[in-house]
Amino acid sequence: MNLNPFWSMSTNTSRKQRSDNEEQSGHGEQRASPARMPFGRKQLPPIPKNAAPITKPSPMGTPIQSANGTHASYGPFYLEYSLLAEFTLVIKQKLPGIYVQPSYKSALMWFGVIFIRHGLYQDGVFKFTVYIPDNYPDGECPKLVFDIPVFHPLVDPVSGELDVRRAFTKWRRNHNHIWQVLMYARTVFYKINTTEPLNPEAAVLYEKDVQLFKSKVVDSVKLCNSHLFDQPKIDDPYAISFSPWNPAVHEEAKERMFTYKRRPEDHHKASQASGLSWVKPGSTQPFSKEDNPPQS
Amino acid sequence: MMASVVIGGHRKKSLTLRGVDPETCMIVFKNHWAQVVKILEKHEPSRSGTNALSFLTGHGSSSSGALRLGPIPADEASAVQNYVEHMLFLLMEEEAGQGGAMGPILEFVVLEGVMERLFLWSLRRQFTEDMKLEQLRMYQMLLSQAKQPLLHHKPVLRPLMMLLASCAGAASDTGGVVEAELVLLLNQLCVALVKDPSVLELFFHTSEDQGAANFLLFSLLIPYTHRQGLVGQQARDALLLIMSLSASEPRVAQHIAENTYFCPVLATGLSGLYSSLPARLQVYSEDWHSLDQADWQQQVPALVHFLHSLDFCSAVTKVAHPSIRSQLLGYIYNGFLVPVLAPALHKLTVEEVMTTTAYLDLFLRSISEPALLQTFLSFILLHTHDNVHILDTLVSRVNTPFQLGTVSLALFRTLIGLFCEDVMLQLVFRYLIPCSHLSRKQRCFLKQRDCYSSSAASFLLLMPSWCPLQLQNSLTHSEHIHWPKGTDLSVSDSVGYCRGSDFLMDVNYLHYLWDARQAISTAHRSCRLWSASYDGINPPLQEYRSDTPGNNMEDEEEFMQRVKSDSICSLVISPPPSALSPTPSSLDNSQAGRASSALELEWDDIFADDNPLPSAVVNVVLANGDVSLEADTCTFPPAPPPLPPRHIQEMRRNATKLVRGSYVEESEFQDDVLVYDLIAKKDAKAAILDRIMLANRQSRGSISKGQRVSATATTLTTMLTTTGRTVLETVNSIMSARRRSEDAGKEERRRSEDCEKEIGRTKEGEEEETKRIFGHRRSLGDQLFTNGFNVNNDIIDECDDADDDIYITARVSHTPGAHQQHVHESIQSPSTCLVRNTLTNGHHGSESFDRPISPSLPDDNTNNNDFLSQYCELMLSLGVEPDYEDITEDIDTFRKRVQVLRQRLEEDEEELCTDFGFSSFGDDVGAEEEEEVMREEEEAEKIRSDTKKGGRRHQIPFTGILAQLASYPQPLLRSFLLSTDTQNQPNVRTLYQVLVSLHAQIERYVMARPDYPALVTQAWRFLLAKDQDGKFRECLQSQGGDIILDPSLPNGSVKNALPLPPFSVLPPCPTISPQAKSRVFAIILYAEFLKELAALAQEHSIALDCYSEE
Repeated sequence: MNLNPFWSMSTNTSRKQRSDNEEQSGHGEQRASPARMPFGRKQLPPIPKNAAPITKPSPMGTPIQSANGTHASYGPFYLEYSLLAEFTLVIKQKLPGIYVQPSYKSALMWFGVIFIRHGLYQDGVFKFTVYIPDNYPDGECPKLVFDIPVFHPLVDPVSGELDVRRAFTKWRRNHNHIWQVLMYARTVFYKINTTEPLNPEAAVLYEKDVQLFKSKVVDSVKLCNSHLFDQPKIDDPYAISFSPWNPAVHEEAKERMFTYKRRPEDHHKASQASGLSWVKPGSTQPFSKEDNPPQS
Repeated sequence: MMASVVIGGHRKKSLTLRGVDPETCMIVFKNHWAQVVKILEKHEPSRSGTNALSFLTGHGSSSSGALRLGPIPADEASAVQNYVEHMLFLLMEEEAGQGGAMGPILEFVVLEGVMERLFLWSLRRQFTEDMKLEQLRMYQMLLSQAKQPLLHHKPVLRPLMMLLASCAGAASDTGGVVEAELVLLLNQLCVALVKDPSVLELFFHTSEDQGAANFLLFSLLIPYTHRQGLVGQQARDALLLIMSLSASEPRVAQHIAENTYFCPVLATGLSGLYSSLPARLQVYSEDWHSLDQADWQQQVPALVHFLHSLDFCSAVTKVAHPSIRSQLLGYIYNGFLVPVLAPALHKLTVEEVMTTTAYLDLFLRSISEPALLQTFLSFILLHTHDNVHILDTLVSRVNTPFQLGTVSLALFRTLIGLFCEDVMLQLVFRYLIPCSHLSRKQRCFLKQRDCYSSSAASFLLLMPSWCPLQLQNSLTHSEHIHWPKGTDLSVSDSVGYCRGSDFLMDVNYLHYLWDARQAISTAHRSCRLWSASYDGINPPLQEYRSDTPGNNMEDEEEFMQRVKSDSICSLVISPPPSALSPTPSSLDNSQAGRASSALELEWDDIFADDNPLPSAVVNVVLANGDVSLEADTCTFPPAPPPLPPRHIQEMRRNATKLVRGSYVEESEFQDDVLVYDLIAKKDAKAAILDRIMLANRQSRGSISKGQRVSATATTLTTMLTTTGRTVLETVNSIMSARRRSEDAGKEERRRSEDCEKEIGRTKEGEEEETKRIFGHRRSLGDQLFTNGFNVNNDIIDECDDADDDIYITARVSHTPGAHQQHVHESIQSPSTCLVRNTLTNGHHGSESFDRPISPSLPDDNTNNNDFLSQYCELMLSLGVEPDYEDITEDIDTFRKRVQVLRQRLEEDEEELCTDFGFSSFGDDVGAEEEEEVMREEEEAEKIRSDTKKGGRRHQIPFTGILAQLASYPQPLLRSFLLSTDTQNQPNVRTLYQVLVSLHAQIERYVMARPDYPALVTQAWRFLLAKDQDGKFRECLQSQGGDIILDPSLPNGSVKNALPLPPFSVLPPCPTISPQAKSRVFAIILYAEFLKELAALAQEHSIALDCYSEE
């Protein structure tokens, strides 16, 4: 699960079909900073004032009660950083086949795509959007809406929303994280659950007529994939968009990804900074490494 | 002379030979040579060149003139010169033959031994400096311009080597011209050698022929190793070439390591150069704390010189063969660091020590080569001087008064900034690894991130409630944050404050975030090499600190205790009876375990602990408090105490001198000498203790009524031995005691000044101090701290509405803080003194009852009062300073004021930190956090004590060090500094808790002063604008050169392109009464520090473990 160079590239240049079988490349090599961190892209407006204040309630639940305005005014920072922290966690989880990217316009909206690699939904590439409540993390669980309603018992056939709430009846800060939602979204395609379905038709078919269910799923997957190259539903610079393979554009990036993968150590070394250590691993003695020149 | 002609002539004819038939050249050459030979032979006794050469092997006698038959006529000499000039020219221009064969001229030169004969001819004509120059230049020219390799041919190489050898002897007595040419030639030779190492063989052989040093080239260069100027530079370059050659040519390496004095010369050269450094620098200003380039580049040429040599060592270490490297490092360690630098760090005067410390700091900053750095660091970390680790000495220095403390702090900043695991291990992590400051639960969550910025929120909630600086304008018009473009300062930034908005205050936090991000990612990347993650799991808990000699046992015990009672509280408040007696101490009653544990926990307090130990009536932790209380209480019985031990008297005398303003440096450090002396007598540890305790006992005699005195002494001594206290600790104790005694002494002195007639009272003071000296070791926080601050509390309460009184009383109050500041100016009435004493006593009386009830809980008042009292003192010290009194509005004074403000800011930072230091420090003592405490000692002590000592001088932003530490990614350290979780560690005083108490205190203070918020806001704006303005100017200046050179700019000048905002657009600095200034600015600083911490906490929460893409 990562912010893949491809995505950021595709947002700026052209669109590309991301081949399903591409492995997750190591995270270290990818853009380490979350999407919203590139400072160059956003800039402080010259004189930021008079804008309509949309102060967040900032329900931070800190040990000390919010006695003054200071707290509220830092609310956006907390929210922003909470979400960035969530995003960081997502990156660390390395969820197979799932990619997300926060939108440009709001940290509360994340674009994502999920690649289903086997099972009934094999070859499915489903784009989705995660909506995070603005009183996060104290609100309800985030919503996950597929761009195209996938034929699935837990996916609303009209809105495309996945029934996330059944897995997170109560969203608990510190226990629940967005990566779990993403993980859940992946799981539903491998383990079909038909209780209390949002799409009763799918549920019934799955129970009664698996063959028909399967064929409907195949149709749904085809439908989704046929819309893969569509413009993103939401117009946002960071929205995930696909484009057909274009060697002129994509070959280089692909090359880079695979090079990283092959020689992670080299890359590692190259970027090392000035830190020093002569401590032997497992030791707590200074200068315990053996190649230490004797000093006396 | 020939050389000049040669050089000049060459230019004239450089192109004329092109296309000329080689045959012709050969003929011309031969003709010339024939002419030369004719003249040569006329003046030669025998034609045998080899005979003549044989004498050359002893080149010392070469110019003795034995061969001279008579003066050579000038016309003949110049004829030869002319011919030779042409011949050389022909030789240089000759192309190599086919397949690399010699050209005919070169072949002729080789066969005929032309060069050798020319060299002999030089000898013949009195081998003067001019002759040497001539020859040297001739070879220089040949080497640099010849089109075919010449050095491969012995007939060319051999006379060259002879020439070199002959120059070596004469080098010293000449005016340097020969040297310059010689070194230049050697440099050329080295270049040639590196380009074509096949010549190497010849170089070795040639010199072997002569039986002289094997590798003449190298040996000749060695004397110039430490030379300054161009010659030295060329020599060093040449040597480096050979060094790099040695890496690939084992033979060279072996020769250098085994047969030359290169490494010793280098190392001892460092020593020599170091000894010529000024022992005291003239660059001290009040805020001076480290050597900047500007400091030394102009004013201390010797330092420049030293640094060049150090650089050279660094470079050699980098490129040379490992055998040379390790030899060199060994010599540097054993030939420079240990015999020179270590004693220099222990010199007798503060100024000298300070200078040495600053040098060491500069050295560390200058060394880029890891191996050399490692040598220096292992010296600092592992070397013991008089049985004290250098590191410990340095840490203790932070506590020393005046600039030495700040300079030491600067050194620690450098050390921390190295991101060296070994340093951090010794300085910090070894105390954190046991995780004893954490509960189990916390330990489990150590690695967890603070996902919801709750730490940051907690920090920011501590902002003053009336704080006007809210972020709403800039942040809320979109639902997410707009990032400033890194640290770029756009013009709009500067426009912001011109318009008088609070823009800067808004931007401010973003800058903190950005800085934090940078710092954290740097730290992340730098620490990637580390061997362990220091996350509570790796390295495992049990393996720690076995390196400090003698600590093992203690650690074990400590560990056992930790195992037995994980609850810190239980230990302090209600120790399980007799269940805890893990210490094989001599104590056998049920209190033994408690007592001994407390002893271990507060090993610095050994001198205070003696009282309760045997009878163990009170919990020892409390007893510490009691001791100091008693010490203060004894103001009542004015019975003259017995004289304290000699060294204490000595210390007091010194302190007195300090106080009087006639600051006598020598005496200052005699204490150290004394201390070290004591320490050196490792065996006599018990004796020392006895001695100290004798003093203790004596001074406390009136209270403790002599009971259990001797028993105490012996018991303690035994205990000390059994618990394996190290000399190191003793040193710490003594040092600290000394420090405190200085404070006390000053105070005492002041008091005696004031109450000269009240001798009895003074003696009380003495007695009190003496006790405090022994009573307050190390757990300053718990005791001295408590006392002082509570006292201050009272005082402040009392005098709240009379500012002047505050100052006076605060001054009197014995916060160990900036006494010496006041000393200069204070005039103080005896009555105040009385007030103080009364207060003190009264307070302690109550305190001693309070504490048993809730002993383990950190006393917020304590800290608060500390803060305020320090404020008072600082304000006093600054406000009273006449310099700052009459500030007018012209620029100069304005600047001065700015400076003053800055100073105050920094002081206040110190206060903050002191507070931090104190509390996090003192309260730990109650727990089983021995390591913890020690760690904090290192970190906090340096901060704390700094604060205490020389307020104004301490210009290092201490918050900077804290922030620096807080940006380290290791969970142990991160959580220690940034965690705001207060649940499970009632006895561990975190930074956050300190800030909480500060907050309460500020709130309370400001509440009583309705004008403060406005005042602070105004000053805040001013400071931010000032800061921004400074950055902006800096930014412009750094770009200045480029911009000015850019012709495309309309007016070709930065100033026209981007006019600097004039000072007038800065918000006015509010007129704050001098008394209030430090308070106001401390509040601002406090708030800014909160922001910085919050930013660090937030950035930590989103930091990826890997920053490889950045």
